[in-house]
Amino acid sequence: MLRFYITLWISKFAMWVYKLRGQERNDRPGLLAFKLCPDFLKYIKKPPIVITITGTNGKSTTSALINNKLVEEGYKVSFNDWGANLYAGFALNLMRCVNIFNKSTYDVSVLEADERTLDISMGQIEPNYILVTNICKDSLRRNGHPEFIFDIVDRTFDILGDKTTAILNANDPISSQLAKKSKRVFYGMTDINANPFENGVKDIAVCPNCGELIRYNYRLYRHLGDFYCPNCDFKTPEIKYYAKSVDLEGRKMTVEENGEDFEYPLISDAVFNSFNVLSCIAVLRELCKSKEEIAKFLETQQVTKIRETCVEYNGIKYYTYGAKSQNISAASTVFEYMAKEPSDKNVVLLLDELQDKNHPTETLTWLYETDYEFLNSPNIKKIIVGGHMFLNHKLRLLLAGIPEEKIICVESESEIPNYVDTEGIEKVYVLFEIDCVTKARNMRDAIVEKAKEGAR
Amino acid sequence: MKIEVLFPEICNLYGDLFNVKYLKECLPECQIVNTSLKDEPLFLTEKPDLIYMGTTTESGQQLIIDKLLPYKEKVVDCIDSGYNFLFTGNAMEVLFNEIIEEDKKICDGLGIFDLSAKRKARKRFNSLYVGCFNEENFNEPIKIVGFKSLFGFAYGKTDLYPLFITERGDGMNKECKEEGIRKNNFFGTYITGPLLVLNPVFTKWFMSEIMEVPNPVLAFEDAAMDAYNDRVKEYTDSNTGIYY
Repeated sequence: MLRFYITLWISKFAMWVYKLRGQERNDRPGLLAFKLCPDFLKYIKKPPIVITITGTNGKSTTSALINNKLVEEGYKVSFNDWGANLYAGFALNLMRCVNIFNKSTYDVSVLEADERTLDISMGQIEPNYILVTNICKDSLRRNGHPEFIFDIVDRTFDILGDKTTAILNANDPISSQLAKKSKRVFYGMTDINANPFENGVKDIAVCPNCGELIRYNYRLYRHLGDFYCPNCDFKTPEIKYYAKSVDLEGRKMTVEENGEDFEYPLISDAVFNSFNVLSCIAVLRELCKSKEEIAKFLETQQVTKIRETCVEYNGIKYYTYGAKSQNISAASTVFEYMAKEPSDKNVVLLLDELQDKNHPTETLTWLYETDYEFLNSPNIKKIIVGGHMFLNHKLRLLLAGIPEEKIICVESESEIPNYVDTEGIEKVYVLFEIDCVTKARNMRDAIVEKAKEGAR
Repeated sequence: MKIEVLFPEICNLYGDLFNVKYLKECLPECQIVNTSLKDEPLFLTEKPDLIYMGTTTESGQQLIIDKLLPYKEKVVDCIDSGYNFLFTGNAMEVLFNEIIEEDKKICDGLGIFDLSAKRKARKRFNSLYVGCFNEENFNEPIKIVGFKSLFGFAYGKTDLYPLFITERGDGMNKECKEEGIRKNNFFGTYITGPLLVLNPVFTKWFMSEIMEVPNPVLAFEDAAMDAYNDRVKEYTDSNTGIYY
């Protein structure tokens, strides 16, 4: 324990120095703690409530909602909202929650957690709740395939046993099979006539028990829906928090819980965000927050500005919209939304990963797992791509069946504003890799500026 | 013309199926026959113009081994008699002697190639790949570019039937330059993803010489060649890092 205490003091001092330098969110003190004491997460005192949010998609939005609600209620919450969702981020998050005597001074820790190392870190932290939003196809390089991630997350629950409650998405044939030895709570959704597009490649196609093709009574998006195996008992589990009606346009959802219905507001008109709200409701209800208070809180919420912003000029709305390159399920889902959102629009793709551009080069396989075919929609009038991958994007868009006259691919991103329409459309979406929030906003502003120049 | 795709419901990772989709774009009249785990393979009763299998999960490999084991002699006959095969990613590992994880044997393979697949449970080996494909009648080898993302490598007689010779990146394992398997018209490679889309020069040769398509024309050939030439330039540049 001496090693732990020395580590705690050194790391907290480092944290204080970084805070003085205006770098409160720098997770190097957490990294230092890990290096000095590999069991740091095991020994550090946890707040009374620790909630972990993991899964391929939706964890940032959901964890932000949960954090916001708890903060609003006056809880002292530590939340790793700076994107550090690995060991160092957890260490910094929990370091904030204790004093130098390792006494807890916070009420709650909200941990957004990457799935890849969950078993190692959560085995030490032992959270009260782990919410798994979904398991979908993600980056090949980082995450391999969904089955690989499932095994890691499932191993986490095996380690934790009954110490942790698993809050799971009943409509996901992959993640709903997690934590069979733990206490499990499921949320799920009725058929909302979403008419989801068929993905070129499914996240899961065959029953993990018997190998038979999985069937659906209805699908919501990607592989999420009311599923069953015609050959064995593999099916959607029993749902505690059941969204029995969802009005995307009216942005409201009725959730049945223990036979009682209650209406909650939604934060956007996208199906995947409805799931984020539903999972947030499930967590907050498990924490015994009142339905009325949750609904009142959700009225005040919107999609985090990291993911979506909008400005308007001359009757056209200009959006930045997070799409996550390399994460093929996220990119495909956003492409589907672009097709279904009925406005006539231009779509700008800024999907090159900065880290890949620097060293070494970007992988290409994700282009061929992502459903670029969804962008072949009459309401998408033009697709403009910039960046060093422009030739690869052009080939992929052509193979997706998109007419060549709709495709503009330029190497220099600074040329993009020259090609964006200023009339005949209602919206412009700048779809961006989520590490490039500022770059996307600058691009949107440059497009708006170009439109203003044209109007002068 | 028929292309048999083996077990596409599980052998579909990392964009591998675009190898077949691209051939279909190039050969619109071509019939794609998807053979699921529940079906009898087409190659048992007729000779398809190509038998394709793509990357699968580790549990998927075991399902495939179980499925193909009763047909092992037929698979051997097909390879020996010159049927056209293209296996990408980890698909060819089902034809090895065994699959080993962390020094523990997971399962026997079909034992058609005298190789062992050895993988690490949590380690992913990611790299770009540059190699060359050569035939006796070539004036110069065809440059092959691609990407590898694997849990392990192949060991054993890796130099017996090399498909490509590695210039940058790893071969069948980190110690050898030979990459893949070429035995008669069996083509197997660890290169992951849409190999044929990314390598249009090789694809044209493959269609012409292996699939015996007269005067083959590639879909979106100009765009494919522009992207390929740019990629070759980037991947062969010594300033471009090769490992992730």
